[in-house]
Amino acid sequence: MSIEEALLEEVRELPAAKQEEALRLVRGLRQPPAVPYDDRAREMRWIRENRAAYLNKWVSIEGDRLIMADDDAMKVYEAAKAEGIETPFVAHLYVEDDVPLIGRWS
Amino acid sequence: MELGLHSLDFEVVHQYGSLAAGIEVPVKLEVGDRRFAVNAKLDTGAAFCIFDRSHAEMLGLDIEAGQLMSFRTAAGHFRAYGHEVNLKTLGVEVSRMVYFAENPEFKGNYLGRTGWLDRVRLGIVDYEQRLYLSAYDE
Repeated sequence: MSIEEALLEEVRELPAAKQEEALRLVRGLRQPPAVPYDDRAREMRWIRENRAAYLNKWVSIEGDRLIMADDDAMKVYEAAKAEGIETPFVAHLYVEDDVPLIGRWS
Repeated sequence: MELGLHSLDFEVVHQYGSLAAGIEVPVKLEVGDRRFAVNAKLDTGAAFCIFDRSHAEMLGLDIEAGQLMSFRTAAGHFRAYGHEVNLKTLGVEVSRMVYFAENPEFKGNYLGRTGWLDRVRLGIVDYEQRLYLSAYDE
């Protein structure tokens, strides 16, 4: 018996819900691998560890390296671009209030 | 109501930080050849995406030339200008109108329904600080 026939035989024995699950699994296998992305974990960690030292400043960060801190957002952006960084990571390190945040607007 | 098991497939799983005030994800903003990345909080209760005014300036946008809209919050109202921007979140890309706060004192970046949540499929298991994401593909 070929692998294809064995697969079909196994799937035929499954209840309908499981057959749908198997179909999704097979379709997932046919999809091209997901585009890699940068989760910016190192930049996020840098912010957690250094927020207090740069409160209210704008910063540009590359990995775990501070490019520039300043009151002017454009300056920190331009500093990172001047280093040849294609997509600078910038953040405004304002005080994260201890009071829980409730967002929402419309 | 339909009872039973349901499942969704996602392209991306992201581990977000437990210390952040809210669920934050990195977002790349792009207009033409200008681009940068920032943190943004997910806000499923927000009707639109709102970003810090400075980010419009970094993108080279004339902020006041955008579509003016007023927003209400529990604490009052504020105004923001809409511009067409390319957003890339964890590899998932959408191009929609987002808003930049008029007031420079507005702090933070927020991903809301129109322009982001309505363009993706999203799953959250907050107990594990895991976020699942795919582009909405009908």
